[in-house]
Amino acid sequence: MHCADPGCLKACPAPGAIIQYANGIVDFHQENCIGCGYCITGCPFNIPRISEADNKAYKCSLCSDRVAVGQAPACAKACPTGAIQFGSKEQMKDYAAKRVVDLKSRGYDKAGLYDPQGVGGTHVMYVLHHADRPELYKGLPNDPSISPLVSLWKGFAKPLASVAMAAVALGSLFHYVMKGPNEVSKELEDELEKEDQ
Amino acid sequence: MTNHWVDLKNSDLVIVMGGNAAEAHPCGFKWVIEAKKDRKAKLIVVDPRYTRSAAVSDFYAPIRAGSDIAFLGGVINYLLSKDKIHHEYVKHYTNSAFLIDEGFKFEDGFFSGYNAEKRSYGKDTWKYQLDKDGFAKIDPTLQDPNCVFQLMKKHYSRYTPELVSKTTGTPQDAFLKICEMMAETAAPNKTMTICYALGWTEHSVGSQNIRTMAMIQLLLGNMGMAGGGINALRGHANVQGITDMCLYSEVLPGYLSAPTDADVDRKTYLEKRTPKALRPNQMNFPQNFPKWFTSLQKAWYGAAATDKNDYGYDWLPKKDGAYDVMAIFERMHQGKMNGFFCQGFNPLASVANKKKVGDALAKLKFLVVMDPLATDTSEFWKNYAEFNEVDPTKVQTEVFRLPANLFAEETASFTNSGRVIQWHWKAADGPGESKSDIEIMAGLFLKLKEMYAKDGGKLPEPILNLTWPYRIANKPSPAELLMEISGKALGDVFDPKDKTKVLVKAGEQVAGFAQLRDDGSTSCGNWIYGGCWSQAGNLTARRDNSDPSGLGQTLNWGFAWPANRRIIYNRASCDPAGKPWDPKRAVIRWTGTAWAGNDVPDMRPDAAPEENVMPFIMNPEGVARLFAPALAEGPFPEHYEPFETPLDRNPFHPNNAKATSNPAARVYKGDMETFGKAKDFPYVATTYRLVEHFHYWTKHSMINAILQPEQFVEIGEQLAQEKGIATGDKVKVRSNRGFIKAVAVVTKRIKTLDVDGKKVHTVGIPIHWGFKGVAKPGFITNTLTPFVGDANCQTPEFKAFLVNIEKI
Repeated sequence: MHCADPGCLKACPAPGAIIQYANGIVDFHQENCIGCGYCITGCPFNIPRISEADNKAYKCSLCSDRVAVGQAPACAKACPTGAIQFGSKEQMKDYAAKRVVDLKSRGYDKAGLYDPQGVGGTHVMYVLHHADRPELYKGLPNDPSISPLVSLWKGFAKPLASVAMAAVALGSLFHYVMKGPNEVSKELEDELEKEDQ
Repeated sequence: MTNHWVDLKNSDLVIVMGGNAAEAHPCGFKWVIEAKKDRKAKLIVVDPRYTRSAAVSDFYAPIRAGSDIAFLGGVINYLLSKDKIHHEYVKHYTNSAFLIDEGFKFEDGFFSGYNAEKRSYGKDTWKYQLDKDGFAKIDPTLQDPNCVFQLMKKHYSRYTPELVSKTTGTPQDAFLKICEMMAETAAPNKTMTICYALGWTEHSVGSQNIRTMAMIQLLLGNMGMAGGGINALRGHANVQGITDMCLYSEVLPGYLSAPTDADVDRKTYLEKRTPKALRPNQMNFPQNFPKWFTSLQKAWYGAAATDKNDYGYDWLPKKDGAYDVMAIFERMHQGKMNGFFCQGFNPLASVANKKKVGDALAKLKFLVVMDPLATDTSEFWKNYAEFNEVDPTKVQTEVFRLPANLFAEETASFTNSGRVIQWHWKAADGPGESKSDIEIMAGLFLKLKEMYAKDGGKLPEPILNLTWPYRIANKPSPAELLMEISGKALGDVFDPKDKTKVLVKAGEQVAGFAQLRDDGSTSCGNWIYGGCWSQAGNLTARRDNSDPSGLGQTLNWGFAWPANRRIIYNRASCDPAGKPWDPKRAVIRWTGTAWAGNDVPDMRPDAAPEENVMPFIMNPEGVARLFAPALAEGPFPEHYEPFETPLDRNPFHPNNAKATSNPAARVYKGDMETFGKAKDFPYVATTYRLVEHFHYWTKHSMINAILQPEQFVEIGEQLAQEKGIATGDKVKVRSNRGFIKAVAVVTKRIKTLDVDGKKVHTVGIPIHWGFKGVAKPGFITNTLTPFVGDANCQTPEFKAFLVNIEKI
């Protein structure tokens, strides 16, 4: 869902395994993942999954690679009926507002945008015919929030566990040295922001 | 489609009935979404199942499979009795005012002229009254009891909302709501479009299903308008091209009706097919038939076709009976065929009554399958346990498989539902020894020609005289073929008004069918494609999507037949004076000197409105037919039950058992006995396609097989409860012809209907499985379907038959 306040990222003990880009995409980097599955617990939408093949966590990347070079995610590009749209958050909220007006005019009084504030809003949003009952849609949570246990983990348990993470951190450092940072370059980010405007 | 895909976006009301565009045509359905988004259009879906199209509709109503004419006839009654029609349009542009023969009758379910023994009609009374000049008599006041308008009104007065609901199972209030929504488009500046597909064609009354809707569109004034028309959504890539090019026996390319035994010579043949105008001043465009036909003969026989030998008329096959797919398999089943060529066709899976088809194939001496895939048909002789229970030792048929290329493995053209011919480019080479269909056919032809030349034989001329002007004889290129189809001048073609003016020089490509001649000076492989490859080059390869009209009229994208016209009958988008009914969606208009606008006018360009040249130029009367004698089962569509009906009578003719099902449909000896009765098979079954699969192709593709892993059938909750079936249970579905086994899906999307005083349950059966491919093997759904077709085109009744279901 690419939350503004991602539960997966909060829960993740492995530095560099989950990264939130300035454009809002929350991306998993499997080379840093330790397969602990905490992201699954942390996610109020039950999205990430651990692969049986390599024991790493995976989820939709919103085609961060395509977006980074100014292209729409593959699903939006391929969708023949325009059910999936892609743009900046503001553009999409404007688009959604129009859709909601249209749906209301067709008798869906409770139509609305699903952009739950419990996670600071999301970057995958849905226009729902019955926004008052998101659970109708494959069990979308009504008011998702990050589990208090994840906050607890952040506050107390994580510092204690950090020793155990040292090896992983070293691994990350090694990766950093070898491959460079897992970041979108400043230039690209600026460019993307410009495009968004 | 009378209109085209993009034009769907111009509609105010989209009807999806007899189809499920959201799933079966997702790319085209985009334009329905655009109409909803940008025009605030409404979408109505009428279907036995609550489909994915229904899921995005504004209004959905259920209907019993096979009762569409009852529904649509009810709409006609509503429009006429509430006077919600486009009066000017109906008066001027249809045959509503025409007087019909006084002997014409409709009584007790039959029209006048019925011959029960032959199961067909003599049409002596289905005709216009003519005056002394041979023109049809009309009554512009529409009051004469024998005028089409009054006869139609009387015919459909029986289609009351009560009887409609009783027959269709559609709740009366839902039916009336839809009538009301449709009626709003009688306003000159409102249009309704209809998207239908095999859910209308695959019935024993298929042609009449579509015709009933065409009548509604005429009454509402929606034909020829942007956002209107009658739109058949074609399923198979290039099935439109196949019909245009006549890959079936009833017609020659361009819908020229094929010669029969009765057409003893060219003169007789042409006279029967070249009509005289039935009203003064009409274009009567089919008067050009001899030009189209002669040009076709020249395209086939070249220099060998001369006026001395009737341009090779005697070399053409003359039909001595029916040669449609049902007739072919009937003949094969009777052991009257030795060999069968099966090109891009999987009849074991796609023709009704799989057992009959399999038995028929087993009686052949040889079967040749030209296909990119190892089809079920190519292994009809092999035992696949219960999926294909045969004993190979009992099958003598020798089977040859010729691997053919797929469309993406050749550079050629496609014609889409909207009649737009589009050139496409090769994406990859075919694997292994596969060859293009053209190359395979060319090889066969050259070999046959060689054999005829050497050994002679009965009537060798059709083969020996066939012109073969291709650069590489055993590999004609699609470009050469499209040029031949489009047509060229063999000698100089002169302007008929000025005999000194040369329109096309010898050897040049013609600009369109208007330049074709009946004196052998032109050749054209398919007149409707005339001009698609002109002197300007291959117009089908154009990819300019500029749209100055804003209506999606991209006239420089590909080439639409006929004459690059995107909306046919577009003259009807203007009032009699030539002003667009809806100026905001003007397709064409009379400029004062000519017809012009956002499309190629479907009218003689200089025909001033005062000349009263009417828009339906392909009819000798110039107007559209609300009364259409061409159809086999009657000039007005009438509701008949499917051949397997859950009712014991036709609710419209409860006291005439002979009028239960289509009285003019052909039923072969022995097939009547294979129809099941409601007491043994109480449930209505209907077949359909899923978005994850394409026909029987994608069961050969792993990714599609993963998306829809196993054969299933859908039933409603009430039936599930009665039969103790839960989702996931394995069930056996039987018809009188065989059974299939599948996983049950219990769904709210299929409702039990109240029909003629009883509860009618529907069983939904997707078609995509078989015993060949990478998908989990399944049963061929057409094991269940009945071997009976529409009376006009013999399309089998795949969409409404009877089954029983039990848990196993």
